[in-house]
Amino acid sequence: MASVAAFGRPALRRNLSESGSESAERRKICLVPASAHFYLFSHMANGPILLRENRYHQIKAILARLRLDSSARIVVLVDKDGQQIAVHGELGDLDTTSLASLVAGNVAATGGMAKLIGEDEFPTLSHEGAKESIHISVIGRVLLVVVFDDRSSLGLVKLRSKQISQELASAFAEIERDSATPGAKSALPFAEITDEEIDSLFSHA
Amino acid sequence: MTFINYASREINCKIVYYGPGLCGKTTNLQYIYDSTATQAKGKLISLATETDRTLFFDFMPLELGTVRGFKTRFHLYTVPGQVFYEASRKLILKGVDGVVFVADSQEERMDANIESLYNLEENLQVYGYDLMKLPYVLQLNKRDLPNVIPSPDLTSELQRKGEPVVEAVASTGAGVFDTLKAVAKQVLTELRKS
Repeated sequence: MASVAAFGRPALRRNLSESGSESAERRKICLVPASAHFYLFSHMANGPILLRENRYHQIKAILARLRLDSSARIVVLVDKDGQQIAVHGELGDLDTTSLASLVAGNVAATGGMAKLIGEDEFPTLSHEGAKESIHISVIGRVLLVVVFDDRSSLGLVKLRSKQISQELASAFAEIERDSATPGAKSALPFAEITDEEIDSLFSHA
Repeated sequence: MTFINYASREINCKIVYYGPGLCGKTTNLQYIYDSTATQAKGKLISLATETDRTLFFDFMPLELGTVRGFKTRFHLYTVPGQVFYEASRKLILKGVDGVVFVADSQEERMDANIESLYNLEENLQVYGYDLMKLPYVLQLNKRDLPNVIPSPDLTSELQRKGEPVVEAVASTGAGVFDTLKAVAKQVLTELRKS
């Protein structure tokens, strides 16, 4: 066991939690019924982003309008961490879960490149294919993704996305303000989940 | 970042498999993918080099079932293990809900395990996460190889906080689902605490 001699080196044993962090962002997005109180994940460093159901439908309506105005196939709103928030359009058999994950990865990678050359981020990304194209707008912590074909054009999609971006940014600013409201704490329905219910999820695995 | 969608009644959680190069992270995901019913999984996305080394990440969504009327879906990611992919490795940890550290049990990979674990804690700190507070499982992989370090020795060196330790042979599937269950349970339990 020669390698065991390398064990327990103090430098590797130090607790990194004592060192400073560049960012303390860890948020959760909850979509809650309009009639419900806000829900709060108390262990989150900066607090969660909370979406009421009525806000969700408002966002869906914005996406629908963007799709119409830009003659796009599909419009998707994605969290920067890769979770799909809302989608509208001709989905067909499109795997929007994978799309959301890859879009987030794409934006994260280009954001890393931006920082390397001294930019904060690239606010828009475009990928043009022979038939289908994608335009991505970074709006704070969410990503607006427009999939379009030759019924539209990059210029039109950029223009409409920019117009809608302002509206979405305002909507999310309100959501963030709401989320920061004192007294937003409330128990999630999942607070009552039992160990048996959790175990039951794995009974067939 | 756990995403709870009340309109579609879904809970989505993100789990990341971390560890040194060639420790078996992708093999874990591949086994889960191969062993899961079609209706419970999405596509397995692998962003890999031409020699099948992970370049950016692997990803697969896995639906476990319904709890309290909510579909429970886990998004499983791996990071690239090779040291020089540090920039992209860090990106995958953003929004993570639970981490599996896949250790390579072979003697000659001990230093790589330690370096990767150290790197994990450092990269979590960048996002303000503390490994000590995060749902976390240590998997001791490749237990079938002849030159492995005894499990108690590996555990005493790599275990950080009394987290579950699972012995595994990812290539045959041994311990793969036990690992996933262990981390997923912690994630859901954390959700309950919230």
